[in-house]
Amino acid sequence: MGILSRKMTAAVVGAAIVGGVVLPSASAMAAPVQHSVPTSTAGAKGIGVDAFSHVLDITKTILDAIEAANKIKENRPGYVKSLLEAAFNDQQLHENYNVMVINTGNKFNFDLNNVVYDAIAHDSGYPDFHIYVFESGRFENQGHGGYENWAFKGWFDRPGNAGVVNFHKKG
Amino acid sequence: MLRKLFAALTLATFALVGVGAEPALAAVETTYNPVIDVVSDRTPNGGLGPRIGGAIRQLAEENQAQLVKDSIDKAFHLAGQFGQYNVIMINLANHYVEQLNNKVLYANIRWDGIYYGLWVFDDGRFENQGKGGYENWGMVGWFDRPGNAGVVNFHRP
Repeated sequence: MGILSRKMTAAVVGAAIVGGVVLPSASAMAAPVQHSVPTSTAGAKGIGVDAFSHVLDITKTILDAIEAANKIKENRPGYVKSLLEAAFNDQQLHENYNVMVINTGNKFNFDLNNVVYDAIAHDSGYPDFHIYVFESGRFENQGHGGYENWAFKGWFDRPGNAGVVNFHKKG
Repeated sequence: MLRKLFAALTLATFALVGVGAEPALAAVETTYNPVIDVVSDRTPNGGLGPRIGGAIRQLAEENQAQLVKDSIDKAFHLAGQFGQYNVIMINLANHYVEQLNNKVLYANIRWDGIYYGLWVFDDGRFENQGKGGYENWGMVGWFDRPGNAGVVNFHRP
């Protein structure tokens, strides 16, 4: 286990992930077997490992590690909307309030009326997200969009599908 | 996770003793139990939530499609003890438009890092704008789905 751990760390340190593809760096090329043709192993969805030496073949382990990281990324919109739906559907709120969930790393400003809940959700796999539950008001996201960064539900208009959302009281 | 790790270790051990350059990896069945949070339950005395929660928590699933099929099946039959309700479940990473009426239950279900939403309700419209297939969504009840596409119109029986 000790050997495996060290080898894996070395391999991970020696690799740079660029756009989901693992490119061996200079240090990875300095593996024990010289001038060998790398063994390419492809995983799911365009990821892969080019192994230059396999005294120990740990390619599967490396692929699993990359896949796990990709999965966390893929599931982020789902995580954001699980927060959104939890707040919107909460038993005590009776689906009477607007909900905004936004990455705390985003730049944003707002002018909200009757905020009944205001919190930040932490999960080690994801950035922190701020949750606002409120009756009405204006919210402006000046940062990145997409469900991986923000999600909202309720009664609103959003001119031009842009960063400003005007929320109305449930009618 | 432990099984996966064990599989990886087994593979590495074969390689170490030189059994072969490309050792055969035995198929390892890995199952995960879903985690369910019942967010709202408007059935009399909140009777449905604990039942659905208990049933879904006990599912040990190997893949997403099986998880969705089993979860909606359990939810539909348990909800049937309280009335005639439709059920839908979707991967929350999908884009969707939910316009359901009289939602008696909503639950978040997390399985192997994937987030699903589960609704039990009277009727309404639901539009899946993302990926299809049982691994991403499933529904049980009374509905029409024009062209077998992403829009589902639910009605009462």
